[in-house]
Amino acid sequence: MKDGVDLDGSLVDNATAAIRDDRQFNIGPFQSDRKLDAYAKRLAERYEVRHESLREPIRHLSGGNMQKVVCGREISACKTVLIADQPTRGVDVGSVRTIHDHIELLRQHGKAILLISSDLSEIRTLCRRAIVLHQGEIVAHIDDLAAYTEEELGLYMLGLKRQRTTEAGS
Amino acid sequence: MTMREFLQLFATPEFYAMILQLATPLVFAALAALVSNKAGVLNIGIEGAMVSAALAAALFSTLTGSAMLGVLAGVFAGILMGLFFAFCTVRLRTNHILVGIATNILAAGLSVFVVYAITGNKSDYPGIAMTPWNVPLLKDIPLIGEVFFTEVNPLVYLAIVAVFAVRFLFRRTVLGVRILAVGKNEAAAASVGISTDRVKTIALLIAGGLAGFGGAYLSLGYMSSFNTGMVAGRGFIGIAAEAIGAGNPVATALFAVLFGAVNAFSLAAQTFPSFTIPYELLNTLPYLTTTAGLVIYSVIRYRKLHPRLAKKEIKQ
Amino acid sequence: MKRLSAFVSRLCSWFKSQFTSRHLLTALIEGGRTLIAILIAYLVAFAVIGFVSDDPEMAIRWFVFGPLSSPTEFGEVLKNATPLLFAGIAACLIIKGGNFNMFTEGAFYAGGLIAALAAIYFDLSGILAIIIPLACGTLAAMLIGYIPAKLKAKYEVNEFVSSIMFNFIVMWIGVWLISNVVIDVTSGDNATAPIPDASRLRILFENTNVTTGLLIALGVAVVAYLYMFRTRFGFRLRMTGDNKAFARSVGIDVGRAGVSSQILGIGVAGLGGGLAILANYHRFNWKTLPGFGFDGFMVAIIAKNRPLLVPFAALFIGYLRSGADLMAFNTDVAQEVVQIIQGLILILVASEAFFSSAWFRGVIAKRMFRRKQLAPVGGVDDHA
Repeated sequence: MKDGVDLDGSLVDNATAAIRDDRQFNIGPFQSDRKLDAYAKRLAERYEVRHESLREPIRHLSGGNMQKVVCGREISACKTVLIADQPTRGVDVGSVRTIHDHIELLRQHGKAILLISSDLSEIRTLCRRAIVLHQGEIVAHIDDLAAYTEEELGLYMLGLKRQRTTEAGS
Repeated sequence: MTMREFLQLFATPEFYAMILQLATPLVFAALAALVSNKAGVLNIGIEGAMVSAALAAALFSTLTGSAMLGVLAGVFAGILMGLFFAFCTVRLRTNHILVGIATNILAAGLSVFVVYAITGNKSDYPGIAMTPWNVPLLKDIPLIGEVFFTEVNPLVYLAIVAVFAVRFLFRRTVLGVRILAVGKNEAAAASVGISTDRVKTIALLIAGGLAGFGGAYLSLGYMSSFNTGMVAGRGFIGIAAEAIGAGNPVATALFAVLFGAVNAFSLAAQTFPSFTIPYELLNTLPYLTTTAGLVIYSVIRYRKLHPRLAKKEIKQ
Repeated sequence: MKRLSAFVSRLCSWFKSQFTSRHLLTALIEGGRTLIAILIAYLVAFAVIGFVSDDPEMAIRWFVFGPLSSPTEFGEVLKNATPLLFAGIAACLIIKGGNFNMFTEGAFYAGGLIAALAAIYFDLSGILAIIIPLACGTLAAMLIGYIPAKLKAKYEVNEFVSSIMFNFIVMWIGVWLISNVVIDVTSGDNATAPIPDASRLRILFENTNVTTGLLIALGVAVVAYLYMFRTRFGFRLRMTGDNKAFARSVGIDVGRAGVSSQILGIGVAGLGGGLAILANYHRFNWKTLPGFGFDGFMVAIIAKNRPLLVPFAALFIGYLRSGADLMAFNTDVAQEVVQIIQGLILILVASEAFFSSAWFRGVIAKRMFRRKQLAPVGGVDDHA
């Protein structure tokens, strides 16, 4: 969380941090505040960030709302690959749905997404392929997640079951 | 200056006595920086504490007619400055560096103000110098006796004692360990029941006292008056010595002595008539060596922290 | 007409986005806090004056009302405020970039010296006689300032200590130059030859010492604001200063942002030094550091690191200085009393706990909306 936001910066600063250099937001040396504000506003609406003003320091937001800003920023700015490490931890249930929808949308646009999560249901809703790790070791490569039951996955996760080395290493 | 004259400079006992004199305030300043740094506070106010201590020492020495009481007043002034610093950082939660800047502004202004209010001039105030010690028997040892035991200010010995006292503080006492704990990880220290605010305050008071000795030495030992520009960045040089000494009291003191030696050289070289470098440029020497030392130390630390990067650079 | 109404509505919505109720409250509280800090500092200063002076009433009268007594005296306020404005802007840039580079002090010295030398030895005419010396002074300051800035970015050399050492080095080299190399013996002082008239700044108002330097200073404040808050470079600078790890994670080169903020700040200070010399000095004769560097940090803190507020903070400190000068000239109190005020204001304004906005908000919220169940003191911020 500490590295994800600038607590003293405004909502706009934080929401647009990743796209500031994009040509459409710059007019010569200057930045178009109007476009940046619009971008931040759109992002806040899409991800249901509860806020009072675009200009207030982001430290006034709750942790969940900050997390939504971070997710929104990174998902919106994604060019080809997105690495999402626990994207919905600490976020309220309704917003989890929104974030998942946007990640899903990204996938439909043909972006590669590496999701790292300890939330099994999150993985099952978002992923097609999975790698199960147990104590830092790969214990299973799963090409078709839907074919596996939760119990099976659970056994892999606990390290009680593992694929044969040839299979896992492939 | 010929090579012979140059070597002559290093052969005189006066030169080494001068190193001792010039290193003493730096050692005190460096130790003050060390104690506050161990408590997790970058104490830039040491310079200001030294200024006010130097003035208080001169003032009270003439007021009471006793150099000893003057030194005590100086130390007390240093402790007061430490208390002020602690109050601002701990109670008011002001940024350390800003408090340091403010302390230095305050001390510089206040000292001139007080001197002017008392004497009507703005530059100096006379003090009563401490009587230097001659240690019987030991002073008859050739060279060493002349340097260390003839006409030596008692505060010089105190500086040496202070180095080991600080070492003892952090190695052997509960307070020292607590200071270390607070400096390393304040939250963790608080969680085991250490009153972090109090420990920090105590550390800053100790630092203020040490800086006070340094300031008092300047006006009653090194000279016998207070001059407004007399501290001349010695507090900052002390901070640099501490940074290079990496938290080790003995190493810190040795670097302070090194900077004192450079200072002594720059002063001594001015007395040689055939030496052509003007004194203004010689005056830059202590600051240049301090910067150089700081840079070398930082580069070494950087190489240690990023070994792979460093190797790659060497290969290229 | 249609475009106008669209413009007005846009302006309105901009204002709305800028100033929500909480925003306004915070701004009010911050302003009030600064005023209280100034008040306390003044009270302490009055007490000190009362203690040392034989005629405290007279001293305080000169101190407080002297600068406003005539246009000439107010001109002194503006004159004193000009270098402080440069120093404040310089400090803003450096602090916002997350550094404490004190070389602004040495930059004033180097900028002033080099500008004076360039004016004397190039001996140009017309507008070039002013621009070229100023450019030389600024560049010289930036070149020296690059060293501690780069060392900090590359090897994490403590920039505070190294920059202070650089201050002393620059000062002694400067003193050496003006007392040996570029000395003009006819001046009877360790000083350079007189600065040619073509290079001196024009007086703006009659009977005052206010020069065109003031306008340049205000221009610099505006440019600094635009740079810091309206360009992508400024964005990088601010993010780096606020949270380095975050800046790195969104792809900002933090080393470069830090160095450029320091270089720019030092350049502004160098320009300020050059202008101070060309505006108010007959020859360059500084034998000590001018002290503007440290003052600049204070000005920046009072202005809350906002470039557009810096002129007001500088004006205030300039007013303090002029009052103190008048008091010292006319009564038995030394002008150093100003430094006591400055130090106290700096500490109180920068303090997080002194009448902090969280504390205030809690009190006001309790008073005003007692019925609504509101978070306790400081609660507003606690969720972050």
